[in-house]
Amino acid sequence: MKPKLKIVIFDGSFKTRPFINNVIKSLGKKHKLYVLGFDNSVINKIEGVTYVDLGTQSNKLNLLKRSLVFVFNNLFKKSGIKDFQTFIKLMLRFDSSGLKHFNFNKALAQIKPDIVHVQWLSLLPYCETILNSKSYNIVLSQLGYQLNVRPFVDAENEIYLKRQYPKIRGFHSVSHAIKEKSNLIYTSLSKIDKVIYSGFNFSRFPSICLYEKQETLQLLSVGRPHWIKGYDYMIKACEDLKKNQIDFHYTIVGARGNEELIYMINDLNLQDYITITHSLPQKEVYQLMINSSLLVLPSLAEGIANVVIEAMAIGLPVLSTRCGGVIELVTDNETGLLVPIRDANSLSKKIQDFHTLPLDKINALRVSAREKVEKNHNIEKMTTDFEDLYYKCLQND
Amino acid sequence: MRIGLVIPTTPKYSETFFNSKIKGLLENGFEVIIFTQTIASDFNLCKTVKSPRVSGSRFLVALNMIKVGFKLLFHLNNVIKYYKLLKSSGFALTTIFKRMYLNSHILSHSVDWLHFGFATQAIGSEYVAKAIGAKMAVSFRGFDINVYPLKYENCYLDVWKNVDKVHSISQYLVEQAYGLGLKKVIPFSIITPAVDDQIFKTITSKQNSVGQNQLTICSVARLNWIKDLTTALETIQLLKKTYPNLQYHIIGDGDIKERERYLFLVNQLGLEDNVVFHRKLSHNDTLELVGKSDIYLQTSLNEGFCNAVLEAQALGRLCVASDVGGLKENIIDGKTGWLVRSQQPNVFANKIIEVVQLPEAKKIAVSNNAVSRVQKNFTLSYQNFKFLQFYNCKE
Repeated sequence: MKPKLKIVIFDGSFKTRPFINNVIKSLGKKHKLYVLGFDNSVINKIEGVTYVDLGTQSNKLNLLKRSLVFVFNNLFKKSGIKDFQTFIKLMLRFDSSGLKHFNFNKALAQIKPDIVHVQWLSLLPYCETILNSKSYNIVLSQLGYQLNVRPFVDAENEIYLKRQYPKIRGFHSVSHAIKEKSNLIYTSLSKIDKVIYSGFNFSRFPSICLYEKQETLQLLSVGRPHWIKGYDYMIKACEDLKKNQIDFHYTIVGARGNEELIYMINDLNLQDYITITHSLPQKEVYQLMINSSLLVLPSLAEGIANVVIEAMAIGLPVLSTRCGGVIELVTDNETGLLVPIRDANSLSKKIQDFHTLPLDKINALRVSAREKVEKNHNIEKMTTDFEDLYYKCLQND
Repeated sequence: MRIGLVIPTTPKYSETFFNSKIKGLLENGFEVIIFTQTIASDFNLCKTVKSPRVSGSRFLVALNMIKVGFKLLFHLNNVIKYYKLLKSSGFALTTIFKRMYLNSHILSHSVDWLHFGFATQAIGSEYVAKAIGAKMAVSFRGFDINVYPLKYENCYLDVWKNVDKVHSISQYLVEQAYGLGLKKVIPFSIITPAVDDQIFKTITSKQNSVGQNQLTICSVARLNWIKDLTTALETIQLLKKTYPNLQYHIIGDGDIKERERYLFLVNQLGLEDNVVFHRKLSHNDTLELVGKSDIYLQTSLNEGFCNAVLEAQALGRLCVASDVGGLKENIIDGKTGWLVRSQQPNVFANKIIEVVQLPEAKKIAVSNNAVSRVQKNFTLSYQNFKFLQFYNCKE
């Protein structure tokens, strides 16, 4: 029987990603889970999880108040006086960054966790003290942009990561592709880096939804309006679709208000063909997926795209660029469709090919896609994988 | 005559357009007051008036409101007029008081012309000129007309109702503004950006000949999406096949997200040895670098006019630019440079190869055409003259 663990999830805020919430819920049944964040407004608290407020980032007084609570809780302990002195210094300087670090370290000192699971590379600066003192086992999640892009265009960031990576006990990679990127930063025989695929909650969709070929091809993308998503290429592809008189409509969820996209749509006279909406709740996104013909992921780089996993699980065919981890999910013409990155013509051509694809072929794609994600992307597997990773990190201790 | 110029910040030393305009007006006996949000400590060309505080602690804003209210008591005429104008236009009382506070720095002055340096600056201040008995002028820049109204539909309705005269940096922007509701009866004047005569003295003796596989291309562009550096860099990738050692210099900066966008593109296209990002350079260093390049490239999705292309032509560079917006007035296609379809890397690349391979005499002819056209039509003295005319005209 493996021991019960104290696990800290550090995401910077309390609003953890939906996929990590699934892990938290699942792990929380066996282990003691804490979520640390600089944000005291938890919308949906997960039962059984302890939320530790580190103070509000934007409100220095609130940060100070939280620090004071930590100082008083520790006052009669060994480091109490030292903490008090540090606090006074930070308070006099009104140093919010220092206060944030202080609160984070004090929270950990109170919890004494077995594992500190850091969700983003950008949060590593908070962990410098504990990385240097090796006081806790740190596991770092490697997701996307912060590893796919930043270290490769920002030399300072690359040097920083190269300095910190060897001090980290274990790594979680969301795909093999991102694991390879991680190895470009640091590799060692003793490095623990486990690929753990995101898990989907299949209970909401026991089987794939019904699919009908619609007269108007309903294309769908979901994601923030960041250049890494490659929407500019997809909009150019839409121009080509229009030119070829394809009856289609393209909806981008979560990118409303982006000047570049609005400009391109108007410039190319695609106002009647493209709709951009605000971010929508998961339930509404799933409903849109059920009503769409094809999910398009025109991204330039991805660790893995959870939206692709969701579409495959629900039964919406997927067309993606060959961007990082997505090729581990989608095999061209088997579990979806693939095109090169940064290639509007290929996107348009592939969409036109898809438009003429007979329903039985589409259904074959959908069934294979569902099988693939059921096998590799279920919550049970994800939870066991995380447990394995944590225990492995402790073994090596 | 007294001119009130409304701009977001006092012009920096390098901003020729506003500085030269202000100097020109002052030299001709005009009085100029700048109404602005930020005043640079080294700016001393003319009188400046700062707009009231809108951010910071609530206490300070409230304190300032009391101060502003007291000050406005001495300009009750303007205030009453402004109130009546807004009231009769159907504004709610809270909006009226908000606007009164935000425009209080202008309401307490008297000018003959209230000139908004950017159309977007006029939003929320549309009735101020009338209230203080001034004529209202508005300048059009690219962003004002090309981008902002797409996001905020009908944002200029009240501007169109009140404006007396329009200044535009290109005919194109005026045409676009008609599409946005500007009435055709409103007089307008096209006053393009201009170049300092000094620039012609800096023209380098660089031959327009390109050595074996050597090619230097340059762009001056903020790393903003409207400049479409994606197309520029994809063009460079295509050109690399013919000119493996080509060098592309980008002068201009952006925020971290924008910088990462184009650095990552360079990384994905394997152009690290061919592309140099200079970020922000001084005007002199910019001119020097542009002056040394074989080709000046401007791939923008749109431009109001584009000062950088004008300067490149003044320096005798062979310019290849997008066939969009004000660029069509900036370059005479085939004569002072070349215009090609925007967003098409292969079209840009083919045109650049074609230009590079032109006979020497043809290149020199285009370069000379470009220089002499700028010398003739786009000088600061001509710009100054046009502005004097702008305010003096009895239209």
